[in-house]
Amino acid sequence: MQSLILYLGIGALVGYFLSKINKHLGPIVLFVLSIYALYVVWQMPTGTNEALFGFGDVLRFTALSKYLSIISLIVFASFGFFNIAWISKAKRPAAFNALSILTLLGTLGVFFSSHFIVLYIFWEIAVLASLFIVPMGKEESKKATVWYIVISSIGTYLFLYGIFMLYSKYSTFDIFEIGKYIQNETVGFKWAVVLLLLAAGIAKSGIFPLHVWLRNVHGNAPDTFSAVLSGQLVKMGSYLIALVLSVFPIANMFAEFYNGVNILSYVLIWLGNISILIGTLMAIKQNDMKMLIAYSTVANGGYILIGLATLHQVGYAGGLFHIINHALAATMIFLSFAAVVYRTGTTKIDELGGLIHRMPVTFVTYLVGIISLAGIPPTSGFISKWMIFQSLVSKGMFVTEMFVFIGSIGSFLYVFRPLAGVFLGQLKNKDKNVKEAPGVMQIPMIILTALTVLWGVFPQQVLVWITDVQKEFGMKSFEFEGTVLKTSMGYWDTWTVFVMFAVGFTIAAVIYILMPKGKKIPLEDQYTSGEFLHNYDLYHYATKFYVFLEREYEGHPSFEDWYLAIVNAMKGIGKFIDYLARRTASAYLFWTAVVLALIMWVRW
Amino acid sequence: MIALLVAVPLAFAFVTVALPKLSKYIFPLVALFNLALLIGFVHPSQVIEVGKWPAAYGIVLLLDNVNYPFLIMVNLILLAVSISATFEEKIGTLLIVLTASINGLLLTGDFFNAYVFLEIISAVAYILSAQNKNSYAAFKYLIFGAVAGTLYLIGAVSMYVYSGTLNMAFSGYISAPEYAQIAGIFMLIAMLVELKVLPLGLWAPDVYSNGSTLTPVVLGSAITLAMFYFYSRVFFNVLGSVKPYLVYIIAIISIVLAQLAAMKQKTLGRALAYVAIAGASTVLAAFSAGAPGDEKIISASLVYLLNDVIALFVLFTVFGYLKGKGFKDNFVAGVAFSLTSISLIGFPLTTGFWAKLNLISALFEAGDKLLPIFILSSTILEAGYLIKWNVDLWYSEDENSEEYVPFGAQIVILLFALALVVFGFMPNLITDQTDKIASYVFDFSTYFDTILKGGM
Amino acid sequence: MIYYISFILIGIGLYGIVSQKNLLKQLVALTIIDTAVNIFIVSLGYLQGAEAPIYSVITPVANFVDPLPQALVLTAIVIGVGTLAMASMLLIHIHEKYGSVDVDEICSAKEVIE
Repeated sequence: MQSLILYLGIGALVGYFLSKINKHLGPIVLFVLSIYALYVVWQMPTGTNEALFGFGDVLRFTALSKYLSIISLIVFASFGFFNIAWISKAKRPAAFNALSILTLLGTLGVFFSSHFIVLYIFWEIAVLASLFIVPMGKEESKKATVWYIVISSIGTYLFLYGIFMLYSKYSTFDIFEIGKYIQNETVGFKWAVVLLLLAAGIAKSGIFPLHVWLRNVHGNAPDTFSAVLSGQLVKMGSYLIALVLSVFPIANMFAEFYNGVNILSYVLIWLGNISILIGTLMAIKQNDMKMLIAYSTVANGGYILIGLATLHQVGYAGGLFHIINHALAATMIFLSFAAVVYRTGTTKIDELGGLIHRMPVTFVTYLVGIISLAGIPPTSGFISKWMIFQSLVSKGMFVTEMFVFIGSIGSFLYVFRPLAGVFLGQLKNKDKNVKEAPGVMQIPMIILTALTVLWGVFPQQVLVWITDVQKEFGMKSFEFEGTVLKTSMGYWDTWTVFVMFAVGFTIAAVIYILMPKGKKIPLEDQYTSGEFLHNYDLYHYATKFYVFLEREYEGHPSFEDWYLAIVNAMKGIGKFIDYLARRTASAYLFWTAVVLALIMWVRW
Repeated sequence: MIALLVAVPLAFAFVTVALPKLSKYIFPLVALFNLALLIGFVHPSQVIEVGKWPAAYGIVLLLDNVNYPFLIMVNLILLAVSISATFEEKIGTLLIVLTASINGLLLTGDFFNAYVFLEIISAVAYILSAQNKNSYAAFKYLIFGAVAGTLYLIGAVSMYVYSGTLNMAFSGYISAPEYAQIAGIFMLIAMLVELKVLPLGLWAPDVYSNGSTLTPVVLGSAITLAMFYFYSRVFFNVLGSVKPYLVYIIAIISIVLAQLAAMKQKTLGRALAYVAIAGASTVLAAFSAGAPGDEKIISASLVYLLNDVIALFVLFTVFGYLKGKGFKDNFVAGVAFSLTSISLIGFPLTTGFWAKLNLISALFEAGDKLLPIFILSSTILEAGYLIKWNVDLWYSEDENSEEYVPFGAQIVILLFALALVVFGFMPNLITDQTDKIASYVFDFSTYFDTILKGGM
Repeated sequence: MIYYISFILIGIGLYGIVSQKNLLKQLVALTIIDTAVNIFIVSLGYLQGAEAPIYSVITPVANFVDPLPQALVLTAIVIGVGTLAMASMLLIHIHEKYGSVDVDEICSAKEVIE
């Protein structure tokens, strides 16, 4: 592990200088490093402890580390490979490459550490590296950067305060040791510490109430980096939540509240519910395709949180599975968007259309991605959603079940909009000569698509990783046998379902090929009440797509506005101070007299 | 020998009055001479009795483990200023006088001698604040600073009246604690004005934002360091802390108000002035936190002070030259600016990170849970607007500006920025030194014995 | 009771700085404060019935008031003079820039300039 971190650090410098020579070399370095790291991590046995640069015993490779590192490395490998072609559009390629490698270093370091301060250091490195990449995107990304750093800092510094509260009690920073002792503390202390530690995870994975940064940051960051932000960095937050929930004996620490679910988990599940609601409803409104999927990350973060918080055999496994599903799906979607932007130059849905004719591979990637996000078999997305649903029903949490269901249906609504608006429909005049994405970009998209379908049909490998995590933390592990997934309420055989889908698909394909095809006519070749059409761009059904639904919640309160109002109030106080500072010396002396009087008064 | 630290700069200052054109070269030479003298030839502890009057009758100059690192740091900063700042020839004379008086303040062991040096430093500071035609702000500073000086004088004379001597060590030894508290209050007010604690530091934003490359750098780094040394000498070593709880509360309020004011600023110079105020207030709050005599807190706050001083040096120099234009053509300046803002915020692995980490850990050990909350919240605010300034400056759309950073300044700021990063990787280099300072600063008996050689 | 003179003068000076609108008057008030503090220091050294600290025929035995505060005050006076000179120089610069030394007029002139 230590050698991996060292290589990544050197790789960042090497990548920077190589990118100055030729910008395509930088992503190659990133790709090579991620493939090497993937190989190493895959082979590494869990449970090893290592030292880092002379500080003993701070790195530990748990099953959770292995699982999340593999996910991150898959995302980064695809990102790296994709960038080899995309980097020609980046604003500052050398810095971009170096900082991406540093981000990978930070996240892997977070996954490997077993010492709170080391975890904090790597966390901050990842935040810092991604912080300087974000403003390389669009114009509005500069303001987005400030949102990112402030909310991320709020989470991180609450976390730091919690670490120090623990340290002052136990004089140790080791995560696993603290987990053994914390059971015997007072209720207030337990609540405070756990909430403080979880705050960093909540801020990073974009759960309500710290979700406001996601839209602007993911939407405005450089296109391929949004894939890393959405597919991987928020998973760092989910890792922290999973770690805290499993290392600290939460079930014993907090009182039981509802049918076997303890009260902390209940609070977290409700935060997840609200995130799902907000994410889904806001996503339906968006016109910019990247901001739309950013909101879907909020909703999916809610799913993961709900899954993890149930601490139930099936639910926890479902939450972990959803991490990998959302990582793959978000990466696929953002990479396909990056390909679209690379060729057409815009991210607004109502300016695009009909790209299925020109960019079929991109279309298929996006399609499989949204099928996975919506949770439809035979993709892997279905399995995780099914597991979460099962565990919620088995605990009797029907209100949550309702929210999760709404989220699922809503997710199909909002992912359909870019599909229809960008890929289906009529091709706009200006996009007539758009070519498919370069081959280099297509390869990672195809590989990710294949992985999603593969793990949807044969989820054994992922389930082995997940059950290892559960066993290591002493939880009862999820049961599966071959392709049959078993829960207390029923079972699901992925192979059977896949065969059914495949048969149906084949029949439909055969029918399509044999039957005569319809005639293709361009849009201008029709009449409308006797008028000829000349400007057919107006007839593309992409604007105000869901206006009938948006009307229902039109006047909703906006959290971004609330946060901005707080900021403005603070600025108002600042303005008052500044006003005082611009006064004359007489005013200064007046204040001195006040302070002197105060000191004298307090003394007597 | 240590008197040379004061005498040589003064002599050369007279020389530059006669030969003003050479002041640009004499100033760095003088600073270099001081550094060489400090590092090579003198070692703690040494005492010089001026005029051969024995200690409690006359003025003593003392070099011990507490002021030795401060002296090296201040002279290093002045050397860096001589290379990096742009100033007229007449100001060169003043800067050499400033070197002499700061060294004198750091070396002295006598209350009235300290008053004289304080007033000389203030006089030079008033003239430096008037750079760039900022006379009104300088006038306000002058009125305010002069009244503060008279308050200090009253305090120093009160100590004399009680104990019959102006020598710090003997006076502190003899006086009754309650009496020392009252006299200490007067001295405290004077120092709070110089340390820019709000609301006594309201002069600072106007003075620091005049956009010169000299004023805020010298006032913010060298003079602030000297004042903090003097504060720790008087209140930790000699008199014992005066109302630490009250200073703690005032400093915390100052941190909050300064950070809030910094958020709103539209010019980088004023924002940095408020950052300086917030940084100084944090160090002061840390000095007053915890039980008296807590060495870990003092050591961590000294690391914080060092980080603050160096970072502000770089930030103000870059602002002075570039005046808020972008970094597109000034890559070195931009890198230095970003590295130091990162260190100021406290991201790993910079000096600022270790400073904040050690400080918070020491505060928790002392049982103080309040100040860490304020330090962390002010860090959040600071991160917000510093990153915003960084992003604005790196990605600004200005056309090619005429502003550029001269080569000497580039070298200096790059070295300082890299030093902050290097110390971030190897914090022991700094923390060993500050631990040593912290252990000696509370050691009144050693101080007393050194000066009075066994008693009067 | 000579201390009272000193305190009254300090009070007058502080009141002057806080209330006057003309910068030159503020400067004069500052000088009053300086003088008052100097008087205070000298008066601290007074001993009832003692003579001025000069060896002469009249004082074969050293029955002096405390000479140290007088030496301190000499230094303090010089510092005060230096500060006064510097402040006057700043006032001249202010007058050149804003056209007046009145606080209200400067503030409005500043708004015009900014």
